[in-house]
Amino acid sequence: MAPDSVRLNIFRYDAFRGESHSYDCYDLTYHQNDQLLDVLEMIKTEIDHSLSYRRSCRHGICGSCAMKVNGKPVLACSTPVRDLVREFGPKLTVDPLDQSRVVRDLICDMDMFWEKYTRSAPFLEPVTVQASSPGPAAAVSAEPLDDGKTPLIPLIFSGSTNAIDDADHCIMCGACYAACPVVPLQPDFLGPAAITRSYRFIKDVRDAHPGRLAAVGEAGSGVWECIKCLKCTEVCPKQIDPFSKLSRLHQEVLRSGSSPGGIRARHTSGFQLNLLLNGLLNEFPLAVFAMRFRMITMLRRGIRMFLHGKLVINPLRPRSRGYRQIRRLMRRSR
Amino acid sequence: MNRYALYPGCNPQMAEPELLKATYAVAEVLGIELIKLDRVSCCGGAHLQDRNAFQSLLLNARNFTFAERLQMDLVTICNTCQYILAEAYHTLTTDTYTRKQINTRLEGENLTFQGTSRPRNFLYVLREDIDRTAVRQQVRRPLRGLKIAPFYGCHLYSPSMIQAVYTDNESPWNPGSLEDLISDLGGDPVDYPSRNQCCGFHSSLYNPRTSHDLVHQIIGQARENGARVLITPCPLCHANLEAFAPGKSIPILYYQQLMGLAFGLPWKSLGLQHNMSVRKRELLDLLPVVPEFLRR
Repeated sequence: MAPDSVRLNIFRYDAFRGESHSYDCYDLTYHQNDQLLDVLEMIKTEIDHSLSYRRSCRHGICGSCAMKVNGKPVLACSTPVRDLVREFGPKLTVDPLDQSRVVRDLICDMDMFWEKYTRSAPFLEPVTVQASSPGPAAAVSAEPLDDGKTPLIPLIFSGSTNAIDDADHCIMCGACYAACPVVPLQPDFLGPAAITRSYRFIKDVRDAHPGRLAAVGEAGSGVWECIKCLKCTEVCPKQIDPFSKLSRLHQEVLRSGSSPGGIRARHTSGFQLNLLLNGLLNEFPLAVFAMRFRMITMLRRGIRMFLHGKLVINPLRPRSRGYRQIRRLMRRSR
Repeated sequence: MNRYALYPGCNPQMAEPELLKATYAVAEVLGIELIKLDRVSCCGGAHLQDRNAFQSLLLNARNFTFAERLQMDLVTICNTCQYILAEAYHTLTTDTYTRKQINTRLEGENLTFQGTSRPRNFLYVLREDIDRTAVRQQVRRPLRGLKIAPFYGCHLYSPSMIQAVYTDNESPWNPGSLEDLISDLGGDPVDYPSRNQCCGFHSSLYNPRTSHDLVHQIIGQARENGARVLITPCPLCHANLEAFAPGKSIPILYYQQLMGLAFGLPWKSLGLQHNMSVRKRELLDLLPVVPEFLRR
């Protein structure tokens, strides 16, 4: 099949030279099976040896070659150019994951990402079970303790691995971290990759690390900063769906009662109560329930909404005509 | 005539009444019959899922049964309703074990989820089922030269792995349906980087700073690129954009309201009196030619 043509605008910058960044334009032909990395390699070997980017395995395993194409974080080695052309047209702009942290061209300083990843304690801290206590049937013995008793590490059963299997597939490419709109606004936010890593160990029955749940539930850095935009799920090259892990961690954090500030927990419990009452949601009583005296901060907005006919003060409105049935079903599935 | 079961959602029945009004008005002009389902529940709004995922799935399976009874597709007018219902539909049609569990609970109420009604957003119903020329033919007052910024939000087409079949394969990174619609109405779509960003609605109650920053970024970029009006398909985005908009903001409308203006429909039938970001005279001055009856 004849090759097609594409125009690549590639971000160029060298932190050590300190000049301002620029874009270099390359008009190229590509074949149907060419990945973005193949085209970059062609530029590097045949046109411009100075073009810099990270790459290693070329098989979507090492996670080195994540970069942005027209704003979308992708793994260059496993993204066909034809798919990008289909999505964005024949003019593509290739950027580093984070322009503010570029070292050279498409290479970023990933220290922040790794620092947060490390904070998630990405390793198993095994639970130990006393030989005499009734523990899981299948267990392996570990080194004897000082007092002479032998601890046992429980084995994980196949049913429990399903919950963590895909979370374990993370290749730490940083695509989800670069796609997350909260990270630049809230620099302390752990981000989808680190939280998914935490999830992988929180759901592992063999893990006994204290305080994992408290760490992901913390205000300012944990799951409550997520705005549920699903960008992480959109870009993950391993289809891990970090958002679903984050959502399940919300459940765990609420169950453990370690959510901060009360307002976050009251917001979700108030949501549920509101549905139990009317089958539909009225945000006014929900806001009063969740915010309490802090409602005063929303007074101005409340008055504006009222004047525009947007405020339903009656907590029993809007009410679904099927609210009794909804209530019965909700009660039966607590 | 095209007939659909309308899943109204909570916000359009409460804080965003203009959306329901404008949707009905536009549907009537285009010969679409929307049958409002008034026994349905809230979809859970991405929050009930955080507390009890099974409960949310059960309620949404129940929601589908009402559209199935009418033998119609379930049409949403809210991005988050669309996402939650599409995800529930996906789970219920691919996971037979969960579906059986859900149907066991529903049987107690003489209901069964069958999976015959698909969840679809009104924007893509217009795009896929209504001929684009039919929309163009209804334009009485073309929005000639009016620079309009489309704002999509995120749950309209995400996660695309599940939603692509309902969204005409819209790319979450390069969507185009609102631009096409603006062009059909004679307007001038404005391209700006934040058009597919998130407005931060879902955590705005406890993280207002994040919402504030995102909304200022969205509206700021739209204005920098020359937009005089911003349109969105989502009541949650609309509520958040209006709540956190900077003091001097451009009017933030629903695309249905914009269609209504181009179709020459009366102001009140589009619920424009409810929009907090709209000042009647300023908006009318932006429209190329405003007929006398619209000014009333």
